Amino acid sequence: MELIGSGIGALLESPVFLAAPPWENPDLFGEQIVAGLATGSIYALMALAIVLIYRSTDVLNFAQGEMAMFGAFAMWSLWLAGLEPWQIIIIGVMLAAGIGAVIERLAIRPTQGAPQLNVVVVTLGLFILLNSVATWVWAQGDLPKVFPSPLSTTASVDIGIARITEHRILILGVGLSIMVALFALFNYTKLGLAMRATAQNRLASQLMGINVGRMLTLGWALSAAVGGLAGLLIAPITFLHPGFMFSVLIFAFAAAVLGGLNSPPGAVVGGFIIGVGENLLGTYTPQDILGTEMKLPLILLLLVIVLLVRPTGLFGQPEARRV
Amino acid sequence: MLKVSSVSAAYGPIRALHDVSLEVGEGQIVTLLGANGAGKSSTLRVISGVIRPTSGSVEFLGQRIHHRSPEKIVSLGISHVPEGRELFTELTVAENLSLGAYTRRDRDGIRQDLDRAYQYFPLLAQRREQHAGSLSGGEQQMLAIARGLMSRPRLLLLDEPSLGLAPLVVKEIFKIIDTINREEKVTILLVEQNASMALSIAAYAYVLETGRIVLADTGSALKDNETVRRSYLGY
Ligand SMILES: Nc1ncnc2c1ncn2[C@@H]1O[C@H](COP(=O)(O)OP(=O)(O)O)[C@@H](O)[C@H]1O
Ligand SMILES: [Mg+2]
Repeated sequence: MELIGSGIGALLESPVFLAAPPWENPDLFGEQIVAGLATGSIYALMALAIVLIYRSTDVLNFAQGEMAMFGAFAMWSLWLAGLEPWQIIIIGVMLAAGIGAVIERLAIRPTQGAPQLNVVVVTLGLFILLNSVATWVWAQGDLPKVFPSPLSTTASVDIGIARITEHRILILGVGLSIMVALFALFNYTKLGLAMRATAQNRLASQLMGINVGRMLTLGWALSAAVGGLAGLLIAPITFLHPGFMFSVLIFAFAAAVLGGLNSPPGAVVGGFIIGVGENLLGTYTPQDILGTEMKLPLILLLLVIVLLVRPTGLFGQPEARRV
Repeated sequence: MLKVSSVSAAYGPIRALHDVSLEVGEGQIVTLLGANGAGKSSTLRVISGVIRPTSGSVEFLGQRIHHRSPEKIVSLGISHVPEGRELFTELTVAENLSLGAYTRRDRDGIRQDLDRAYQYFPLLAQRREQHAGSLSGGEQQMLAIARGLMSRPRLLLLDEPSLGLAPLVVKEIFKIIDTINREEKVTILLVEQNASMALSIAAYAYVLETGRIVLADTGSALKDNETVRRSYLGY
């Protein structure tokens, strides 16, 4: 009898994978939205990291995720050595900034002025290098490795519209604080203005007395710190293995392109849209047709549609002439 | 005030300047003339530290500056308003001006100079929150000059301020340059292709040809010498 009713009929009759619609279960809907915002802030941070570098050095940093992965593994070692979870977040962010600065000076600076393909090859090379070294050093024994959070990843609190784990509250709180801080840096400080100026016109910046090289190093350090933080915040949920940032990076690229590759506010909005969209798709579509494997293609399809309608993304400006 | 001695410079294999020497006295307007590709911009780039000379020296107020960074040279009192303006087109007029004062720390002085810039260029005051890229060509050139003055330079290097502007606007720009020199006591090294305009305000003039100085005389002497005008200045 079950066999006879298979195919489409069975699909319609087997709503076990399909969550109750929002009007029947508003709590679930609220939870999915809030959880999506938390993941979205991870994507937003990664997307910001990508956009910061793209604006200042015209480089799409394909190694952004692996830089974060590498830092997270290093912090995992420190955690095993006895440091507290909150300590490894702080040290991890500083280490990431250092890695970003060193990469800019040693690997990116020498490619400036050379054909664009060179720097693409450099970031792909970094991707492979960081991944191989991390695999070699850390990826022995059981994988993935448990990664700690200062707050609980299972205990949840009621925030009115939904119940959400303490760790997701940490993600949202830290993520939003960083976004506000970056906004303030770029819009209200002299340093931020100098960084924006350098991103636009290096010759003019030099003539204004700005140390252009220092701004580029600082931009990479800042970007790596933000991306590294995203890695440290998502690792307690996804756990650690050498590929744990792959999908985060792809969603973050999608978020950055969706928002407009040269627009930081666009990266944030894009991150939240993708985070929430991913969660809602996962919850409200039948797994038989649109399982987790289909999340990525669906998000990318959405992206293609947006780009067809608005080639510069939601918030992007057409590319300015660059010197 | 400025003394360029036997400077040579190159871009990789391309030699741009050969043994160039020139002097600018305190308070003067000196102009550097020559055809396209003669090496005028390169001379200014050497002075402001954007490129390093392969030989020779640059002295400013008695200090040798040709191995200094552009940042350092700005804070010593030289401001370079480059060819083609090079504004931060996606930043506002106000942001462009405040970047001009990047090397300064004296907040009150900066605010005073900003007010004065807006007095000199009332059009900019009206557009202070607009993106620099939305200004007209003449306004952009005024912004470039105003931005260059925000570092409170002793010496202003102006590279073809009349480039691409309508004759009436050019006249206005030259009037402003003359005023800045007389009222603000800023010494000016002016690069131009528009020789007749430049000679009308300059005390002294140098003519560059393929990277070498071929003529040097007072502005009025060059202006009155018809053979020189025909063969070197093309008017
Ligand atoms: N960035 C550059 N790279 C290579 N060659 C250059 C560059 N800038 C100028 N040159 C060359 O140097 C010479 C002098 O140029 P320039 O100083 O710009 O002359 P001008 O300002 O008098 O037109 C020219 O032959 C020019 O082609
Ligand atoms: Mg020139």
